[in-house]
Amino acid sequence: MFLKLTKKLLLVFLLITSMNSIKAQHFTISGFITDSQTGEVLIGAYVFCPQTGMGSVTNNYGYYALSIPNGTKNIMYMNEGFFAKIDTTLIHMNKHVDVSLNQMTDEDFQINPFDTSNQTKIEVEEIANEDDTVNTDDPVKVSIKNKPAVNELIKYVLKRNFKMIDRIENGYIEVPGIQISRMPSLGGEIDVSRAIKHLPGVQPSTEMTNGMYVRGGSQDQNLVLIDGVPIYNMNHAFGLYSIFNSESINSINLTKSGFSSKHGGRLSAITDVVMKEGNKSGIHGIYLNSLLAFTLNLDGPLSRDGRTTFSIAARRSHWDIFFLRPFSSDSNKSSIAFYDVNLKVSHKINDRNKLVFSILSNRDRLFSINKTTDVVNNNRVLYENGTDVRWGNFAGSAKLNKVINEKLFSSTTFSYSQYKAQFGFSFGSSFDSANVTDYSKLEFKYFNFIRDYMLKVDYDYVLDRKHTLMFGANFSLKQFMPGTTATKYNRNGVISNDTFYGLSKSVNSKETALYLEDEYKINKDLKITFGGRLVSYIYKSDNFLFFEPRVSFNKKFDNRYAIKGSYTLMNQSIHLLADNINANLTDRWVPATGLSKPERSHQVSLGISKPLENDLEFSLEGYYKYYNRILELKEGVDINSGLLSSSEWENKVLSGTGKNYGLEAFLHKRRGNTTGWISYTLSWAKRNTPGVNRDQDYYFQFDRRHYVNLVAQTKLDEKYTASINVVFSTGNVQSVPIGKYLDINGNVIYDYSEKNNYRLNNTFRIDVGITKIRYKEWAAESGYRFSIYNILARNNPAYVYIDNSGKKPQAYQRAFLLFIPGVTYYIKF
Amino acid sequence: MKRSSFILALVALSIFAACSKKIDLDLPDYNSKLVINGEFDTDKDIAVTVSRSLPIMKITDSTGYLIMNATVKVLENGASIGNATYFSGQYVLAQKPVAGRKYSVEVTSGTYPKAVANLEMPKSLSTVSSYKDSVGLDADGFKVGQITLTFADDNNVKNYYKLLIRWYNASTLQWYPLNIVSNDIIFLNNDKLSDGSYAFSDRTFNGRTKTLTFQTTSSMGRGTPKFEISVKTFNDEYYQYLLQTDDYSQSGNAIGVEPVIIRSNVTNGLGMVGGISNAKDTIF
Repeated sequence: MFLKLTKKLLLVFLLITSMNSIKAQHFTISGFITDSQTGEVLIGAYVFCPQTGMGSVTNNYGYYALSIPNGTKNIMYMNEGFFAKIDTTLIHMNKHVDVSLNQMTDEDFQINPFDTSNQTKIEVEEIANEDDTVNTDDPVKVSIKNKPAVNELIKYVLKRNFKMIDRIENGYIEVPGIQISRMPSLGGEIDVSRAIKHLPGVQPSTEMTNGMYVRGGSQDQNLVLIDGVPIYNMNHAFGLYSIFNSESINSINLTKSGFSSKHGGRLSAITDVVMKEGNKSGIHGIYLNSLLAFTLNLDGPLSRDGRTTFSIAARRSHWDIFFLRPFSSDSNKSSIAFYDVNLKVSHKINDRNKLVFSILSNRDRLFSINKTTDVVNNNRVLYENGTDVRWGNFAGSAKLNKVINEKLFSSTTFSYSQYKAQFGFSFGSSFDSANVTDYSKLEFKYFNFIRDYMLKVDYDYVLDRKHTLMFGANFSLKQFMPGTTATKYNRNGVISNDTFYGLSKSVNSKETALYLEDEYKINKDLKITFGGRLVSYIYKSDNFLFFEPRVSFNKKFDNRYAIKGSYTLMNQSIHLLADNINANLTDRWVPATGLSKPERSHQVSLGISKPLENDLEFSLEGYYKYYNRILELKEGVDINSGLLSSSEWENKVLSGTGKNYGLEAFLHKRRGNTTGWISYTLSWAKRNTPGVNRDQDYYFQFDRRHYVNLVAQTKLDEKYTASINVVFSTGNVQSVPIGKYLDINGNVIYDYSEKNNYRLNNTFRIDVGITKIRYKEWAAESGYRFSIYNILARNNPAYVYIDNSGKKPQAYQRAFLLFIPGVTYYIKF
Repeated sequence: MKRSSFILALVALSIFAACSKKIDLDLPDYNSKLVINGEFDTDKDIAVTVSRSLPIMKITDSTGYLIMNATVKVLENGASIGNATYFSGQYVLAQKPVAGRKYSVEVTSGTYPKAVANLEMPKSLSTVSSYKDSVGLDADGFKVGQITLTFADDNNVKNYYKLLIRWYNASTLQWYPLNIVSNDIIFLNNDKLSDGSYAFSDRTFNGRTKTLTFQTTSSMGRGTPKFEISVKTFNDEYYQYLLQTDDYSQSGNAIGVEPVIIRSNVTNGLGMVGGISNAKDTIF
């Protein structure tokens, strides 16, 4: 069945592609684009041929491939924050061209946005073929004759933001790294995950937890990839911070719709993070000390020729060192700490082959020991109670990137990812008398984990001038331990009651996927991608086979704006049992089963992208997303109290449907003295689950009608940069009882009228920050980042509750994170 | 060092210190409703309680809910069979409901709109129970006993059951619920209630005779073994209600717990009047 469908898919595809005859001879120009200073690959760089109007964007490995007709052509290479470069070259065969771009400052852009230092030649060329017309009013279509013309052309292409218009993806955001690093932060610790939530369509949970909700989807519907490896928990410090070490990140992309066939397994979003590979020219680094953590990043070459590079980033919180330890004693110790380490080693075997190894490890630990003594019948009794809670990820990957020929690029990855959470409690006592020593200790341990072993191979292939293919396969073996409790009783060295409750062995699921996608350039102004993903999912005796069609289109209008649309079908074969209000330590991943089937979403989206004057970009996108079989906890289920019976999770959940729709507007200024963005999201998120809310529709907990963000940074002078975030949001919804009455047993119960019937107050928050840069002889740069989170100390509601303990019931609103100052010292070398 | 510790302490405190602020909930005006609760049991006289619902912020004890002067009219298959009268917290009508018949309870009181509860009694249920004191030995060499329960499920009707098996402890002179260990799918997929009973549907044996066996331990069989097997059958609506109230009593109203939206079969009101057919066997 699986093979037959694959064959049919290939046949249909070959038929479609064979219908396109090639009029003129076309060749492929391909290669890597890198940073000339560091050697780091540039992801999302844009390659553009003005004569043909065709462009291509580098993939996650900095690789591009562009099919263009023969003849002398001008090829432009551009990337945000780098000098653009033009190479005028004769195209008469397939070519491999690696290009390095020079970094520039904002001022550079204002003065001279191009770089002629490495230009091979600029020639006068009269070009005429079926794709070209000569129009002297349009700089793009003019042959380049001299340097001023080049200058004008680059300015024109940048100004018109051809890349933005040309990219086919909608619902896709290149997270602006430089702007994020200048944003006001919580406690001085820059957090990419919090910053992403200022983008349109992405919303946070409560202030205290780091949940991310994209277009009304729950947090497990977001696939987070670090160097292509899925990560299953993003949180440090009970969700206060994410595990992303912002200083070690090369690029972050967020996709909310129009998903490529390459990706699957989640319904709502893909956050694709690529870590830095390391500087080829020398050892560089940055040290940061915030009020919460130390961070040290180092990167550089491991070999003289720069073919082997490394990048290591390590961070550790220091609350325990500076705050908790001074107040600890022998009888009372407590600590809360986290660390994360990212290591990446890259080895360029030759111009066409590269090996990349990466490891990510992070851990949080909370422990306390409390000792008390008592005297019973003149004998001393010592009581010792302990708590030890740990959670964290460990992930690693080995990747081989290979340029098989100028048309074909492959990447093969083997990866492993684990998330584990563990809770330990112990109760001990020892009794000492002249004759007798009696010791006993009861230990209780609960843990859950998910492990994911994955092998995948991806290919990019330029079939001809109109078709660029992506195809590949991946296999994932997941091991789940939804929750097991172990107890052990030790009395005077004799261990008894050494027992497991719940599952004592993990359960496995297997998922295999094949995908194929064609980017079909119908003409200069219209391209579509179509393809699909064939997925086989097996859990025990339950087999599922899915076909997930993916279609996107991009219609350009005179290179001034583009209309983009897409339809995607996604399946998700894992669920997260989560409580969205409290800290997420008890969240646990479970496999889709025959009873709790894989979740599914259909999404259509339509939008417009338009560059404006003054380096502004504007996009507007509407979407409609329909969910099927999404998981909902049964009424009355407390996921946090189910530790002992976690193997029975299927009895605690129900499957339902959901409808999310909305409109997102994004106005972004990437360049200039003042940068930032304004985003606005208008959205609805509804659910219907038989067995919940009397089977009636209800709002999703994080349904927020309006969500507005302003993020701005302005350079005050050479030393100071000021920044501000302003957030306004409609409150989310919560179930609040409106009445009370007696049930059949005479107990007082609440009348909720309906689930999530109460909308919390609106949220409004202003964060401010200032960065002071100091230049020193012995360091490239150093400085301070000051910030105040929620400077108005506004009581933004996380939830409300009713306290019945007093004489009369009283409602309270609970808020977190009011007026949090932060400062970070950093030094780059 | 001391200064930096102090600053860090301040920041850490400000992060973790949650702020609770008194608020007035902006709730819609609450219209108090009549609440009718009752369980029509084929073995008992008809009895319901009538109370009122109150706004969530109202101060009251349990007596504030009760209504003692309501008019409660009971109809059987659409015809009145009399008014129930208030006695000791309940409205009672000296008549037993009949299996398979339809009942309505109409309640009027003061300015409340008339509230009506409608229900259909399940068909009668008969069970056959037996006990063997020894069907084998357990891992420690003690005798294992077995209770066998057989009952016929009504065809073409979605029935639900609540099974409670209790054993009598001659030492403590008390009854204890039997913890059921069974591989039967009805127990794998359904919930154990807080009173020790099990609720399940007839999904896997609709219209057929169902036989269940349960193992007992040697401690239950000491002296003269004594078991009580109670089976109640009821409809989908009442079944869901029982599960919900049970979920509610277990979860309370904690933050982070999914709220239980309790069902009702009362028009213009709240509450539930369920109907059950009861079968009980006691084995000595």
